[in-house]
Amino acid sequence: MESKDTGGFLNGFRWILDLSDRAMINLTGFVLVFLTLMIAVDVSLRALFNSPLPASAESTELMMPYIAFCTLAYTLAIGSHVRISILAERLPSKYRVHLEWLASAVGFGFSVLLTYMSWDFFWESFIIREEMLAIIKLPWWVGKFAMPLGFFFISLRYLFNLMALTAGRADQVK
Amino acid sequence: KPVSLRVASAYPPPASALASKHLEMWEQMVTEKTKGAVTFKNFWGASLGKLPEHLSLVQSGAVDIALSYGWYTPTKLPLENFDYVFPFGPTDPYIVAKTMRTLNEEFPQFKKDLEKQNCVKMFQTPGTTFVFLSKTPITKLSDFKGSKCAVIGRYFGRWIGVIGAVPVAAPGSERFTMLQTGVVDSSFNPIDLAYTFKDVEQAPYCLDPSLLVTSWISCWMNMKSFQKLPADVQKILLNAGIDIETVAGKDVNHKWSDMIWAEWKKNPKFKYAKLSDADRKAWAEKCEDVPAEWAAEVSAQGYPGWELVKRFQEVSGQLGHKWVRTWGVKK
Amino acid sequence: MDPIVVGILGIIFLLVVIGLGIHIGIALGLTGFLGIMMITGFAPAARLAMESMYFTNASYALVTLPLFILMGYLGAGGGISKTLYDGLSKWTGRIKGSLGVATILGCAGFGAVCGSSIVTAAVFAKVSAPEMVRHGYDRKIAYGICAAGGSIGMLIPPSILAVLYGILTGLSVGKLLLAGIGPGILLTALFSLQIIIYSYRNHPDAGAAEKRITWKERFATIPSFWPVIVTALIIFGGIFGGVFSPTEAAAFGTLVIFFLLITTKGGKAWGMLKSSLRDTASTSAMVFLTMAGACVFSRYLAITGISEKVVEIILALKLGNFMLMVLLSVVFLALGCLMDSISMMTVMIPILHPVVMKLGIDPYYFALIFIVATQVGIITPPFGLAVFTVKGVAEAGVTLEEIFMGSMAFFYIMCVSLLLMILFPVITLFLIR
Ligand code: NA
Ligand code: NA
Repeated sequence: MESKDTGGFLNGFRWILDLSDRAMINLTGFVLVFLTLMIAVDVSLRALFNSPLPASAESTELMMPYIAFCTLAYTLAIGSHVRISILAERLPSKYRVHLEWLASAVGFGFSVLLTYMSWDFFWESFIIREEMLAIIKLPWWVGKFAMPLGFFFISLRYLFNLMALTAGRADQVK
Repeated sequence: KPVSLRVASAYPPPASALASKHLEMWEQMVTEKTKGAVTFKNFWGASLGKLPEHLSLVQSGAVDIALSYGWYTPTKLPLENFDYVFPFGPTDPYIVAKTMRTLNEEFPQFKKDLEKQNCVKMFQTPGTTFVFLSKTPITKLSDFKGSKCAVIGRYFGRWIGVIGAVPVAAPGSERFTMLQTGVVDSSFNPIDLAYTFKDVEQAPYCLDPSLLVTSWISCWMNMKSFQKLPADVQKILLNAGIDIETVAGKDVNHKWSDMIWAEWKKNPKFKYAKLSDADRKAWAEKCEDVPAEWAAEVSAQGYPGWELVKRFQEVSGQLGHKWVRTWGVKK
Repeated sequence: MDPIVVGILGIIFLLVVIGLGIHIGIALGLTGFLGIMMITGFAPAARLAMESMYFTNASYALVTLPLFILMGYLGAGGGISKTLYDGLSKWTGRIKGSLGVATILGCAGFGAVCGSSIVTAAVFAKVSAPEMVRHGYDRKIAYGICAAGGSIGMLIPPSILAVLYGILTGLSVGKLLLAGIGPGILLTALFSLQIIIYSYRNHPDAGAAEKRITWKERFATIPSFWPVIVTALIIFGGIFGGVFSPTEAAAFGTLVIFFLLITTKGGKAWGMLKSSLRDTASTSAMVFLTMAGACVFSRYLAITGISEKVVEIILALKLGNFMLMVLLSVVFLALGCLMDSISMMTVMIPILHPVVMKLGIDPYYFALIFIVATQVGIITPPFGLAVFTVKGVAEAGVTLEEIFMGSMAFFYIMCVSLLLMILFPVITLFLIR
């Protein structure tokens, strides 16, 4: 009975996580396209009309964190964060689950800490509406927000993995 | 009892960066005057963080002292390098250093801003004069028409825009390649940074507009680390700060500039030109009154912006700088 | 506790954590954070970790990483690389190892537009490795070629490391870039030789080599080359014509490939764009998390002063220049197992450059030995950034261990190259003296 309950909860949790993953993929995809077009427009305006966009280099720096951090959770969900699996491969599958559990626990613990620290990092910048040094006004906190955003969702995904492994649902974890 | 202080420099080691040279000299003064009681463990070349990270490094206490540049965090330290706003400001490093020191003493806001960041200023020394290094000869204002010029920061792009140049935002480390392939025609930098980035190898035509020298080299100490020191040692640190500002302005920067000019002149393609006084005047007239804009902006945040702009021109004028135009005129 | 002890403990802790299968970015970040915390306390460590993680990734120069990877995904997904390698194999199929050698030459050519080894490795791992596998190459070797080949991209100008080296030391960036060409050619030649030897032993490209290919068949493949030729022309023309910088070229590469897909595949191109964006997002997230973690760990190693200590010990031995260079190279290789190239450079070069000058060793000669040594580090476990990036874009089923193993053959070659460079300064200096 109890395992069925956890199963229901896990499925619901997973549904939410998958939804947020998709949102984050769309966000990063949008930033990638926007960045590509911005550079192309900047170069074209510079080459053809001698009037490049102002602060394109600084704007790029503001967008990069969204490419770096937003899809951390999705990358974990599809098992694409790199790790060395020599030890796990040489162990019987019974112990392998324990290692997997350990990896998820450490990952969860540290990413919660990262979420907290990066939120603080963002918040300090946000309350003073911090700007970058650039020819136009660029809000620095916008870039810094990508970090807690990404770390928050990867914490949740680690938590999901941890719960799934605890409930004996290793099939849910890649 | 002896203490060793951890120091992070955002700049390359002293042999190749003027800013780090100032830091090293200041450290030597301190160690000497404390008879070896205070020593330093240096992390050069931004090995503990990139340039904008240095304020945080020292604020949080990860290091005791950091050498950086205040306007990289413009919202936290809006006044720190405000001498950047004056086109055709003083180019004598001593006048710059002395003026900024005077203003730091006259206006407590400088100190308060740093206190908010948990920091005490050790010194703020001037850099070297800004020049254009170009791939093609530029000697007069009209040569700038359509020239793509790599700049960084807040105001330079606007200054060179009014004389027909095309400002291209480019970090220092990108410029060598951009000049090499011709994405930009010229690069605008103080000569010590241009020397660090080796722009002259690609752009040997130098135009010296006597536009400004700024006191961009800031050295801050963590408040707690500072307060832990005995009062007499604190005094030694602060006095060494005043000394390095003077020595930099009167001696070190001149020698450093001479070294760079000598080095550049070894390049057979290198050509030096000075912008004529008539062109400087014409350019100054074309510029928007950026200092007024800045004064209005910081005044809105509660700083005495107009007074700062006025006093900067007065003090530097008394020290011998001839302003080609009055800035900071309230409309 | 003595920072040096903290440093050694940290390295051991890191190896254990990585060995247990903790995700590498997490392992590096955690170790680095805990280590810094032991030295400075929690609040400074937290701030330092956040700043380094943010600013490692919020970098203008790094924009080439996601954008060139996107280009690679589009090119591979759209079948451009498949038709290219099919065409190539018709021309050179009878020559053993030709596709591997073509990939290495491709890395060298791409190196002329891209200043980063990681990016070069990623692009070729996406575009070339699956094609080599399809033509009979062992998976390990195919991906190993790309991971190692990336280093050539760093040596052929432009080069992020050469520019940084110049900034840190005051050496001429132009000369540093030129000095990289010799070692770049050397690695290209030795890697190619290695692949040819491998091919004579293991017979990949077997399919193409068995049957006779007529000239008519060969000429029929020429149209398959045009997408790559058009892209290359636009990128090279744009850079050397001064229209855009190598950093900006990444955006144009992506756009050109996308327009080619639109013209050849029509509406299907949008679907490909969508999946390429998703894959680029996850690959970037993986690489950037690893780099962010590595940066925190490197800051920690820097703050312990452990690398200076090692250098001090070595210098105290008062060795001759040859033995000194060999020993230093060994240290660089060891550090390369744990650190990324840029951090290694900012930590080591401010200490070593003055020593090198004092000893009368040619600084350009030394610089290139250092740069090549850091490039060995991108393929050595446990922290091999090129191998990680290659894994990020690799086909399903390729494991990290396989890529590390495949790179091993090239690790030895790179060590031989290092030795040759130490013995024969002319390799680095012939263009600048
Ligand atoms: Na390159
Ligand atoms: Na390595």
